[in-house]
Amino acid sequence: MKRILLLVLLALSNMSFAQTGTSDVTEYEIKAAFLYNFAKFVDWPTDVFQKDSTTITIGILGDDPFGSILDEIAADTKVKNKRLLIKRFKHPEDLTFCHILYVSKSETRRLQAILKQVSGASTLTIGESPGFIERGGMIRLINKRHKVRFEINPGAAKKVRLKISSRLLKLAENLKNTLANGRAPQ
Amino acid sequence: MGNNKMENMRGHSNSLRGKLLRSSWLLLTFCLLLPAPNLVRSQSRMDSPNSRVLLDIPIEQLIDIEFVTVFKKPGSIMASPAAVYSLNSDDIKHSGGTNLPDALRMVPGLQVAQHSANSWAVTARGFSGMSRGLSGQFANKLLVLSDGRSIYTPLFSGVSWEAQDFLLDDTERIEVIRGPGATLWGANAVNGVINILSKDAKKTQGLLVTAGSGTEERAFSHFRYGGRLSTNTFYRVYGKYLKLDDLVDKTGAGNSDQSDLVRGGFRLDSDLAYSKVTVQGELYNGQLNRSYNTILSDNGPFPQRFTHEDKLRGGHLLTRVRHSFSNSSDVSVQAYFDRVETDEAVVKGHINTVDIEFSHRFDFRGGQEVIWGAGYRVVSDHFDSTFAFSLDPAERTTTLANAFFQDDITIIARHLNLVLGTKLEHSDYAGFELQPNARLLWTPSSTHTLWEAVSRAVRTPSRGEYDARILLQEVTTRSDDGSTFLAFTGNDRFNPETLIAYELGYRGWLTSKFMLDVATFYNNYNSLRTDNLPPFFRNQPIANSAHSFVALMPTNNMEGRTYGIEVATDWQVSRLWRLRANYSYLQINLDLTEGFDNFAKSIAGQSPQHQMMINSSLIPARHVRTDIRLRYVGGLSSPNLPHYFTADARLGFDINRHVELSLVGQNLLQSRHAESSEVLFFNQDSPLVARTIASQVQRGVFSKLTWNF
Repeated sequence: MKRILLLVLLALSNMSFAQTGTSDVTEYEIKAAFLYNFAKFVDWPTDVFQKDSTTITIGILGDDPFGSILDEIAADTKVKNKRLLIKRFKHPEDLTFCHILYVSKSETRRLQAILKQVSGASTLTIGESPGFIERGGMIRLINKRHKVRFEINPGAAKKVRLKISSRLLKLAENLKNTLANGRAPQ
Repeated sequence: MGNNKMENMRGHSNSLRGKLLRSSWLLLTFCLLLPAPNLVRSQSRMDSPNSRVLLDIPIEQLIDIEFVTVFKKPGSIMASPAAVYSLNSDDIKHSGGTNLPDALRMVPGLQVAQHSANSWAVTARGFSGMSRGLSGQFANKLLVLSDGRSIYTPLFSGVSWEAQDFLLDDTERIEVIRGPGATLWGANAVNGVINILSKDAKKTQGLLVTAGSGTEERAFSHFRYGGRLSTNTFYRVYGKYLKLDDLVDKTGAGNSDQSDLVRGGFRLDSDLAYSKVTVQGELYNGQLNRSYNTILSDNGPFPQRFTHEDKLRGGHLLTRVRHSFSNSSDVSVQAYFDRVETDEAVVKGHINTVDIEFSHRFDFRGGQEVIWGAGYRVVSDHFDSTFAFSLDPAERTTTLANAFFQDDITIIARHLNLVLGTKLEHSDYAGFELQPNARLLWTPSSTHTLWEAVSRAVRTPSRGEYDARILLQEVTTRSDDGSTFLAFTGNDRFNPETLIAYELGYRGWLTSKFMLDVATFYNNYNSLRTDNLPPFFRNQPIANSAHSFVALMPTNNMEGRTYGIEVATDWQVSRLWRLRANYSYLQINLDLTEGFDNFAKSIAGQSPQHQMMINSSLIPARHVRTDIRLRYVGGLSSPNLPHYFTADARLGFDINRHVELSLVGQNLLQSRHAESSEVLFFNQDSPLVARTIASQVQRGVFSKLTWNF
C-alpha cells in the first residue's frame, strides 16, 4: 500500500506545469543559481571535509545583495549530497573557513588584503568588484547587458587544490580570450 | 468458529486490498496523463519562487537568461507590517466576476454591497457611505488607485465604481490594505487602500478576444491586441463593451437600471538599460440608467420618481518613469491627467485632475531602507447649478501638495524591523495635516510573522462638503408661497475627520500547505461628520423660485470606536484542490459629542457585524476547473436588511490551447436578495430616502468565451 502511495506521489511530483508561471527573474536570483552551480562543479580536496563531511559552507563577506534568496536555496537543496550552510560576516577578522566565499562589492577597497587572508585555505573566492581577478580572486561575476556571466582564474583555484570542472571553464568569459592569446591566465 | 470468521474477514480484506491496488494503478495512470495546470498559490512561501526553478536549469542556459531590473516593492506580503491581501490574476479570473467590486468580495474585511445594476458601495472596516449616497454610493474612507492614479472622486469623497470597468484578464494584481495607508498613499486612505495594477504590456502580447452573454450581464465583449515596437518596447491596445440588464426593486418590478459602457485604451512599456518607462491612456463613454426618487425641478412633486439616462464620459493619460541607480537605490516619477464628465439627472459637470509625484527608495547604512517623496495635484472642476443641486462657487481649482518619508530599520537582521514614517499634506480644505505611523515586524522564523502598527490618518473634506447645496426633502408645503426644503449646505468650517488606529496581526504557515492570516484593529475616530441644523436656523430663499430652504450643515460632532478581526486561511489540500476561507467581525460604536444627528449615529448599523466566505478551487478533470464560492453577509440594522447567504460558481473548460469557455452563476441560492436599500433611516415622521432606488441582486448566469492567440 505504501509503495502505491509512493508511486502516486512520484507521479504527481513529476508532472510539469502547463504554464511555467515564473515571474520576472532578478539579477541576484540568477547569481544565487550560479553560486549553487559553482558548488556543484568545483571539487574540494578531501581533507576539507574531514571535520564535517555533510556541509558545504557559503560565506558572504560585507553587504549581502542576495537577501533571503540564498537562505531559501540552502533550506531546500543539497549539493553532492551535502547540505548548504550560509554564513554572513561583517568583517574579515570574523571569517571562519568557508568552502565558497562571496566577497561583496562593499569590500572592494580591502579586497587585496581579504584575498591574501584566505589564500592559504581551499576556499573558492567569488566577487564582483572591478579588478577581482587581478587581485587574486578566482571567479568574478559580471553583468553583460541583462545577462550574468563570469570570469575564472583557474590558476588561483589550482593553487589551493580546487578542481574546476571543464564544464564551467568552457563558459567563462575571459578564458576564451586568454587562451586565444596563448597566455595562461594569472 | 471465531477462527473461521477471522479467516473470512482476512479473505475479505485481501480482495478489498486487491481492489484498492487495482484502483490505485488506475489512479496512477490517470495522474500521469493529467497535465496539472498550476493551482499553487502565487503568494508562495518563498519570497522568490524563481530561485527554486533556476536551480533546475543547466548552467549553459543560465548564462542566457535575462534578468529584469528590480524596483524594490515594499517587501513581500509575508514581510508586510500591515493587513494586506493580494488577488493575483489567477484569483481574479477564477472569481467569475466581471467587475471589480465582485472580485473584491473575496477579500476578508471588505464590505461590498451592490446598490443597483451599476453602482456599489465598497468599504473596509465600516463607513460604507450608503447614507451619503447623493448620486451613487460613496464610501469616503477608502482610497482606490488604478496603476497609481486615484479614482477617488474629489467631489463627494468616494469612488464611482460604475465608471470603472477593468479588463480583469489584463489585471496583474489587486492589493488591498485594510487600515490606514496614509504614509505611502496619502489622505483619505483612512480605512484602507485598494491598489489595482494592470499587466505590463510585455505580458499581454497577441490577440485576446472575449465575448459573453447572460441573464444579467446582457452582453460583454472585449478585445486586446499586444505587440512589440522594438526589442524592449511593448504595447497593447484594447477595447471593451459592457451592457448590463436591469435588476429588480423590492417589489420584483424592473428597476430600469440597465447600462451601456464602452471604453478603449492603450499601454506602452519600455525596458531600457536601467529604466522602465510606461505610458497608458484610456477613454470611456457610458450610459447608465438610474431610477430616481428625488427632487428634480421646482414644479414638484417632491420627491418625484423617474428614470433618467445618466451619461458618464472621461479619460486619462499617465506616464511613469522608474530608474534604478543600483540594486539599492531607485527613483520613480509619475504624472497623469484625468478628466471626468458627468451628466446625471441632478449633477452635471466635469472634473480635471493633473497630478505629479516622485519617490526615491534607497538603502541606508546600518540596515535601513528609506523611501521619501513628494507630490502635487491640481483639481479643477465646474458643475452646473440645477434646482436641487448647486455648488458655490460653481467652478473651483484646488491644489493638494504632499511630502512623505518612511524608514524601514532592521533592528535584528531578518527578525525584527521597525518602520517609521509620516506624510505631510497641505490641501486647500484642510491646511497642513501630519499623518505619522509606526510599525513593528517580528519574524521569529521564516514561516511566522507578527506585526503591530499605530497610525494617524485624516479624511479631508470634499468639495461637496464645503460648497454644495443639495435639496434633500420637503419639510413644509405652503400652497401660495412655495415649499420649504431641508437642504444639505456646505460649510467651509467643516474639519477633516481623524483616526488613530492600533493594529495587530499574525501571518504564518501552520503547515507547509496551510496559511493563516489574522488582523485585528482598534480604531479611534474623532471629528466624524454629522449634519446639523444650526441653533438659530432660518429660511433662506432659493433663487429663481418661490421656494426656500433650511440649511443642514456638516459639522464634526461625532466620535467613534470601531474594532474587529479579519481572518484569512489558505489551504492547499492537494495539487488540484485549494480551499480558502475568510471571516471578519466588526463592531462600530458611534457617539454624538453634541447635536441630535441620530442619522449619523445610525451609520454604525450600515455595516454587517459578521461576514464569511469559503472558496473552493478544484481541477476535477483534465482541462476543467471549477471554483465555488459560498458567502455569508450579516444583516444591517439601518437600513433594515436581513442577512444573506449565497453562492457563486464558475466552471471553466480549456477547449484547446487558445480557447477557454466558462460558465458562471452568481447569487445562486435565492432568486434575489437585497444588499442595499434606499430607505436609509426610518423615523416615525419621515424616512430618509436615498436619491436612487436600490435594486435587489438577482440570480444570474452567463457564459464567456476567451480566445487567446
